Amino acid sequence: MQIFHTKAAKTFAAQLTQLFTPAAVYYIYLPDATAVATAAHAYAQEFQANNAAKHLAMISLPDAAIVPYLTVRSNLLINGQAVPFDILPEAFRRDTLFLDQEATQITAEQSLYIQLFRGILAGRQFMLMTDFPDSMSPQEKRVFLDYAEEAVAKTGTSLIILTQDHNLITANPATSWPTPPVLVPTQTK
Amino acid sequence: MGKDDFDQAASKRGEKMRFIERATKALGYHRRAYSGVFIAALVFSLISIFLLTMRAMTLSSLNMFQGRLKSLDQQAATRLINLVQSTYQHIVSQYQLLWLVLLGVVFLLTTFFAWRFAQRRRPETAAYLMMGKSTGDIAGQYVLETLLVFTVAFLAIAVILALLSGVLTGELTKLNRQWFDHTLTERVSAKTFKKITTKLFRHRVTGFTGSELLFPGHNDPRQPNNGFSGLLPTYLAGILTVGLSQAITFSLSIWWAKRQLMHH
Repeated sequence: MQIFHTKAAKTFAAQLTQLFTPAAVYYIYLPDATAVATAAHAYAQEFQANNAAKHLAMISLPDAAIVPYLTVRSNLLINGQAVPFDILPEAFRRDTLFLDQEATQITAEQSLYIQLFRGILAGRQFMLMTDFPDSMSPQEKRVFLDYAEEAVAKTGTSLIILTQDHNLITANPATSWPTPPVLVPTQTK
Repeated sequence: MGKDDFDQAASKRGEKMRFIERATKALGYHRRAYSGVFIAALVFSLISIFLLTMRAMTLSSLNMFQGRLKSLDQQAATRLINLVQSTYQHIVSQYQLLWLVLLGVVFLLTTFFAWRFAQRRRPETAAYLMMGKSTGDIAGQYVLETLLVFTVAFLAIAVILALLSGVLTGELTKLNRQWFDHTLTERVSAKTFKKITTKLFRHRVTGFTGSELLFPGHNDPRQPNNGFSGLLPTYLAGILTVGLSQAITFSLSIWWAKRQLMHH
């Protein structure tokens, strides 16, 4: 049983590497919010089932993954710091007022940045993000993606974004899928 | 040790510090709930220390009673001796039983409130689960919070009791004595009792009267008996009861939340 388990886990790891190398931002298109949620859920479960949850960081919409009574800095560092703090963009790193405030009043956009950099700092190999909040304009999304691309390139992390925005798919043909790729190849008997 | 090992060790240490920080910050965030816990912990500590002190007083009175018997004609009053001894033992076991009942009540109440508290903390729990924190990690934080509050409440009670020890132990001794008299008269009528003691003290010169024989220590300057007992047992039993009950309840509740998060 144990051997089979590790074997399955190895296949899973190989499949992930094949799909999401080199480290970059990847896009997967899904038609609506329900499909995004379902796909994110299914992927997270695959990671869990293959003992790989420790390599995955989830980035989800507001307040779901931010602890309100901790400061922004603590929320960033809560999963440990495998990567030096300097990896963060300077504007973010220098904003001590923001970093030391309690995370009760943050916006959806700020929550997204916190979750992204938390995954980066924790040294997670994969990050799974469920789309952008509606409140973000295309320009704001672009800025976020620029920061994300820089961060993943520096740390060797792959950020996988499940999105309903078809423009992102057409703009990144090399790193996107029109339908979710399968993480676990069907077992041949 | 390579640089990576060092970084990893530093990271682990950082995580541990974050764990403590999480617990202390959560105390402030849930301060209303924890004020309730604080008051409950005060009440529990007080009752527990009182019970254990009265039990210790009774045991020491029994000891002194047995000591004083040596200067009397024990043959004359085997019935009385047996009566008094069994009364003392009865009271000791009553205190003990009450104390266990107290712990049982604390266990049940803690379970009930921990369950409700866990429901209120669902969003927070979900956030930790999303980050990949384990059930044990989250439950550990929640239990630690209560144990911190309990410890502070216990220390407060210990200080207050130390300051008021003279007055309070005097009152407890009185109360204890009343209970003893009450329990004893339930077992033997006052008339019979008088008869036996007169017989016992006949032709004897002793440094104590009849009532001082039965309930020594109260008016005896050599036995000040004005300290509290059972502080450590109170603290340990409290920590264990509350910790165990919460660990079970929180783990179950978080495990359930995790299950729902994974297969909804």
